[in-house]
Amino acid sequence: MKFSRTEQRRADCISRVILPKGALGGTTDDCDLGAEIGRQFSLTPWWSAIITRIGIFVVWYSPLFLLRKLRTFGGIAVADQQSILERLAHSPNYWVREMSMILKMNACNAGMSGEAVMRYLGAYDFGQSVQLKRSRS
Amino acid sequence: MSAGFHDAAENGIAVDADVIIVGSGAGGGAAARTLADAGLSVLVLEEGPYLPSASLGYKTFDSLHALMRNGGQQAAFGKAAVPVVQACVVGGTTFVNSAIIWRLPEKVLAKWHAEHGLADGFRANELDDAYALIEKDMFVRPVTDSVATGSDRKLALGAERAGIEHRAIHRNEKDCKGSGRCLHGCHNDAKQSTTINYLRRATESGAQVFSHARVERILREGSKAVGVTGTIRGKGPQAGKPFRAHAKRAVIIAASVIQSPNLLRRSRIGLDNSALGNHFMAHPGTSLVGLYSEPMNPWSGASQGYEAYGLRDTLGVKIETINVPPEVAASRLPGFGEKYLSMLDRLPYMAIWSVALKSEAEGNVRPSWLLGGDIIRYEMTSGDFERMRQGLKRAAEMHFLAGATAVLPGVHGLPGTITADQLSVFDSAPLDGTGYGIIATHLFGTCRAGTDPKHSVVDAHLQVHGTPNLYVMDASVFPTNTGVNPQHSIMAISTMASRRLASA
Repeated sequence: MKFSRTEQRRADCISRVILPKGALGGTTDDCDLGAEIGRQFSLTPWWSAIITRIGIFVVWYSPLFLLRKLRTFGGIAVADQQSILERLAHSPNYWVREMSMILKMNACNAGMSGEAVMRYLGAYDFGQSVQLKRSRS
Repeated sequence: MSAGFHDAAENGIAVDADVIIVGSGAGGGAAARTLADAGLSVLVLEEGPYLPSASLGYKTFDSLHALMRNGGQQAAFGKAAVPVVQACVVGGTTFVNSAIIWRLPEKVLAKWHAEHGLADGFRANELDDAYALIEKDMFVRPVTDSVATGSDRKLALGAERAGIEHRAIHRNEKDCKGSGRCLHGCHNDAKQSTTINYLRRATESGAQVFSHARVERILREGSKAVGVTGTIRGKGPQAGKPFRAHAKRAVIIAASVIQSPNLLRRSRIGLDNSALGNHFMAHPGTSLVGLYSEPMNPWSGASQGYEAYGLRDTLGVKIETINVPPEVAASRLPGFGEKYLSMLDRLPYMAIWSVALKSEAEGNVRPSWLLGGDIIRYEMTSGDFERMRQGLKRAAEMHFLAGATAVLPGVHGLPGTITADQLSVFDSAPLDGTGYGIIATHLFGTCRAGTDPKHSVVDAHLQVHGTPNLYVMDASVFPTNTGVNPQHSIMAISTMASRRLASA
């Protein structure tokens, strides 16, 4: 399965609310989250990919039923976007919570797998973390 | 590719051997080495690819895609979806696990003897002999200080103060550099997966290991197993072609708790057996994060270095340190916006511990005739969740005793973070799977061993009831779950049964 351009744009928008520019010292800023999630989507078995597809659809149109606004997710303020994601993550419905968690996982997989993030965190063999250096000095 | 290892997609498959082994993980690796050392010609057929350490990366998604069955998306379904993590690669799950070694607890073996009639087949002295050999050959030793993490030291301290027995985890590794990447496959070849140890030893004794060889049916003449058929996967001139291989002495299925019963079922063997594919058991586990004021740097050192095992006999719970990739840890943190960003910045100060449960629940596995895959049904019991929340409470208590400033329960309905005076919140944690982020590891039971051919799939020597020359040698033969990491038990039982087969 492949993302459409619209889905890729929406995935990028949602993921940037989860992992905004400036996160982790700005190390995720250069990542095209939508494109990376699209790449991962194309490699994922269809039954799992379909959850991502439904998740993006639900989040995109959730302002209609959660905020009672005639807007899509991309057309509301950042604070409202965060509020919507928070409400979905705490939904009483298990599958809605899972969908929300999968979108967060997609954003983190796409944005936090790069070498710059690993170097910033001091993960694996990419050097000692900023925080560690600061705490030891 | 090392000598004796072949890509079926490039070269096709050898067609005859004394013994054909389906699967190259703990069970298949031990059987291959034992039988090849005994002078038999051995053919190991593995569905997944052969991946040299130089090809391994550090990105979680790509590692899952390259190494795991269904790209790591396999799950068991009940009220909740529970990921069931299994590798699909030469070396099986030994390639991606944390190399934790435990002998089968004596109480568990005694139960197998008493309740499943396995005293004749699973002899303690033979198992001890096999354990000793494996521990020597696989360089088993406790995690050393040089690769222990801050999280390991905190667990030791917390368990000591809580009065719970604990120890450095014993692992099969040689010259571990503490890269923290066990779960992506060891890129230093330090972890002694079967790929670099037992299979390599087997090939030195003449065994042939074929990757990208998916076995789909067991061939029989009358009731006797005589070979296998399947399809070549991967990319290469032979990919997509069917193959057929013949075994003069035996066919050994060591394809895992999910694949082994389904291979039997697809081969129309044991269809009237009430145990086939049933009694699926696991050690479901969830994680608990402690926030500390000093850095834990949870991505360096041993992937899993320390364990508190003193609650095994009371709660059926084992608590272990676990380093997970940053992107995975981040995806489980609560909140959005500023709250989440602040959490992300504290990632290096987090110690992550897993709480693994010896679950009493039983599920089943079946082939999916429509989709060509496998269907796993599994639902933990309310008793399991009662013990799970008690285990989480004890683990949180240990975090605080070790100096954590806060704990992230990671349970739906509980606060995102708690302090030491809020431990009682775990008493109201949910009693079903929809409230937890659970992963099932250590699977058991779907081809259980026993003397009664109506209620067990294999006999005490692991031969399939009513099918001469066909054996199962993996954790699917375990009649109960074990409460400890199973790789060592699988290898020992496979070694023991293979020795008997070789001398028969």
